[in-house]
Amino acid sequence: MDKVMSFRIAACVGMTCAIAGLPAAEAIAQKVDFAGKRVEAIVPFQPGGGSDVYIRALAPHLERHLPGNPTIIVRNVPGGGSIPGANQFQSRAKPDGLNVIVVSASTVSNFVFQKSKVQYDLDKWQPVLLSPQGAVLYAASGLGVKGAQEIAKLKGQRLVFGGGGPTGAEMRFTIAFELLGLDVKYVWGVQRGPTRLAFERGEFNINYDTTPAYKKNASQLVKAGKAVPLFTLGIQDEKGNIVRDPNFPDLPTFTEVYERMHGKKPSGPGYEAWKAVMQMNVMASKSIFLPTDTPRPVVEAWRAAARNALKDPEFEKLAASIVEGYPQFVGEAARPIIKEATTLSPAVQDWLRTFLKTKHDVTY
Amino acid sequence: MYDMIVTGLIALLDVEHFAFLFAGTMLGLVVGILPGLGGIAGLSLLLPFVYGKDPTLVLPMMVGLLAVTNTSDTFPAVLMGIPGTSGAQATVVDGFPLAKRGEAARALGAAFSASMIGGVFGALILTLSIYVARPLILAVGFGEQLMLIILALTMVGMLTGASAIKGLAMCGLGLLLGSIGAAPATGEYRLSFDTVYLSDGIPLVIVGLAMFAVPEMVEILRRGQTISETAELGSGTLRGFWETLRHKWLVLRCSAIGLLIGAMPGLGSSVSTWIAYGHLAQTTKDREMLGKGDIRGVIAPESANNADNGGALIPTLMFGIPGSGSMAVFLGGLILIGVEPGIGMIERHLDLTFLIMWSLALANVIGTGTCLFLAKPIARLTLIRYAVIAPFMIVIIYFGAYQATQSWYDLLALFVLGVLGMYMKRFGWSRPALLIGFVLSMKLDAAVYQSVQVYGASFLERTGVLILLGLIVVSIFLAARMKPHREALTSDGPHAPANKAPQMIFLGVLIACFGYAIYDAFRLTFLARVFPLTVTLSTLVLLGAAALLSLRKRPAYVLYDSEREWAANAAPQRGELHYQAWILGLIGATALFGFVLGTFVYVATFLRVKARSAWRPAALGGLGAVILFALLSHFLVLDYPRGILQSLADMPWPFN
Repeated sequence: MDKVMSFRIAACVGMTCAIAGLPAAEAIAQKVDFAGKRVEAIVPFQPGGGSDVYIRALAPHLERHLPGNPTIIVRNVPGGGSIPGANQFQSRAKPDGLNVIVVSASTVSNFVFQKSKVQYDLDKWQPVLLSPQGAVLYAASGLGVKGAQEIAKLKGQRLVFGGGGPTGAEMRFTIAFELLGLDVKYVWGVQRGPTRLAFERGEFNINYDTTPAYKKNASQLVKAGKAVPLFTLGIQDEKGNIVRDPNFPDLPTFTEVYERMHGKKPSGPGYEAWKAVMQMNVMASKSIFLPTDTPRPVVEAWRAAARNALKDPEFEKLAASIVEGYPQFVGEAARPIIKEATTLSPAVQDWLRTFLKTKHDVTY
Repeated sequence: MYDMIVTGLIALLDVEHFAFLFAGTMLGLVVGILPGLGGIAGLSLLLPFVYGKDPTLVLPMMVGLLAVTNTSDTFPAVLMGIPGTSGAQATVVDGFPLAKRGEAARALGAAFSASMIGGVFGALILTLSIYVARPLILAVGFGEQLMLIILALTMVGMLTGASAIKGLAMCGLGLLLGSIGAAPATGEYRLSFDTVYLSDGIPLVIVGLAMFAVPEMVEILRRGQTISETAELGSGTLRGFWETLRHKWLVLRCSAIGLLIGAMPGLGSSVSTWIAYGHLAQTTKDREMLGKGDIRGVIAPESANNADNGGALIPTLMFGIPGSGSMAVFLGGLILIGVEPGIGMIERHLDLTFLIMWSLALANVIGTGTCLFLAKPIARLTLIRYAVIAPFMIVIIYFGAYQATQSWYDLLALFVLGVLGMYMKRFGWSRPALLIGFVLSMKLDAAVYQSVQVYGASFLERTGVLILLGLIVVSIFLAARMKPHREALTSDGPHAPANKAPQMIFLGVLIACFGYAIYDAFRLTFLARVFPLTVTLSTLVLLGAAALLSLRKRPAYVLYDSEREWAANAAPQRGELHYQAWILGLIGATALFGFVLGTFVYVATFLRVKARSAWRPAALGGLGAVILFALLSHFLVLDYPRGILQSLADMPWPFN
């Protein structure tokens, strides 16, 4: 009897506390205030790289829209394909809104392909902002192709394509070449900038650049008649369809090219694999995350700041080129993309494994 | 165009612009002095401030910083034997022996003036080249890159030391160490023991510190004296300055080397300085003093490493491809201020391009002036009892090592390689040869594979390749003909066949390591293993030859033990392991208390026990180190290793 009583009392006390706690949580929501605080943004890459420039360009605008206007400082933890930096964030970052991490495509793809070294729960972190970044494939004009409509002419020609490695960001194109049935000779161990140089020298005859690099440099080669743009990877709209890249509305997407070449809509594990890799490298190109256990109100404060920063005319003026006119995904809107990029069906995994083994002699 | 050149200069000379340039230059000097920090760290410190600012103010500041890190890095290189950046490694070889002779001020004077001439030369050529550099860079394809790397590698021939076999074997070890990490052709991890740390390879800065800073430090500690063996600082800065002018052709040739190598994406001052040094050795007849304190050995690399920036700016500005690590950050900075380098940069931003060039030239003059002014007083450091300086040097090089990847493994890697470097020094295995092999390893592997992949064997038919092949042949011929200056073989000298056990053990350990490398290589696919396997097998042949020669019972150059060089009455009381244990002490203190607090404990204890200071000044010394690291952590947003203490309790800044 006594025991029951005490249980009841305890339950009552508990209930009261819980009810009392509700407005308290509400109060916290209103009281998220970073005044006088330093926010540490971990960039798991070298300073000056894409992710670094991304957060540094966004930081002043986020600062302006975060409650209390904290100072955002960037700490670079470079190397290891961003695994050490992300692992460090997982183990050390407190869920207090003063710790964020910038995630790039390689952080996502290593999460999928390098499981043994990864100690971070990318799929559980709280997304703040996700910024896609497109890419354009172009070919040397010497190959005699005038555009995507003539892409079939590339079949049987000796194409030379360079890049970092068979499992890196180039996969979004190597799989595409495979699906189009092109005969490509790969030259690995070449960084992005130098591949364009090798293309200019004529050593490579097919190459790609991400949107900003294409606009700045490769487009000059196109103007000079040395290169012909073929297709973009497109981007995914809210409904999950792949649509044309808003920066290059005149260029077809890979999906369109596939359809024209094979006369049917793409399907099957090969295309699914391409789509997963495209999610990693295009849609999840750059993103900002908070630690898993960050309280709801704090997460919401960050998302509101991101939303407002993107709308800010000041941002438009100074940093719009950082997001290059791509749709931005704030908060929960980013989650499905991350989920699609990080969960590969067994059929897709098998296809990828066979593809990497037979075409590139790589086991993963 | 010409009026734009003048406008650029006039713009810079206004007070506000000059102030930004000056501030950048001063910051560059500071980060250059600290080992492990260089242009990358300095520029990332500026990045938060550049965003949205006027490019004509920010650019001079960034360029000023970049221009002089390779100037001030000479201070620690010459005075302490610690390369301040990887561009100062070759400077240590002759600079530090000069300091030990009490000629630090002279060495610094020569180094700084050579730096300035090299830097201004680089800026000048950059200006002249903006219209012709494009076709030139485009002429360098994969085949030419491969030949350039091989040409750089032949410089090892001039730096093997007394025994050519041992020198080449060390180059092999460097190539093997450099091949650790992802294979360029397949991305497979070689010799990484399945760790994330080794998947990127060992950081260059750590290898540099381990090869030079650690062995020198242990030796001087054992000698128990000041760095300078004479109590007076000899003739000073001005003399060095005049010597640079006297060797003006050497300065110009080495500046040209620095500029050309710098302009190749992926090759930078860590390579060009060694080529400049090798070039000096090839073109001079009197090599007697080289490596033992020859002033030209300072002038050659220092002319190259500042000219390097002018070269590295060419691909950065004209192709949007960073010519070096710090240029990558600079490129990021340019994007942040809305300047888009790359094709058409010169047409779009000609005014800014000239502003950059003038800033480069002026920063070199300002930086050199400041350093020359400070050379004499700072050189007095070499007159202080080394036991007082040593704990600070130890914590600073470990600080520098940690900045490489901010991992605990950085500290362990420096310790292990430091022990290797120490025994290499003791047993006469060439450390420069190892470094050259190390910096070129991945590039060589990648270039061979890429050339073959793109051209097959036909790359040998390209004109550029043939020209470079000719140079390679000349370089090998010169190396083969070179007679290194070496002591006579005597039965009681360092080359004597007495007490061989320590040397033979070292040799045995090396052979075992290469044996393991063979085992590791067989897990890999052909493209990933062909390079390390070739290196390993060739090196094993060399090591086998060295072992056979060592077994004979007569003096030979393959035998060497510097322990036999101590005069009978001056032999140190403590062995080198005693001081390695002291270095290990820092790692221990860090493991317990974290780096900052550990530094305090360590410096204070070292000063008390080894330098016999009273407790109070010893504690003050420790406090000084803590303040330095706290300031660095605050301004450069640095992180320090954590210890057990930090995992048990939340510590206040800066101890967390």
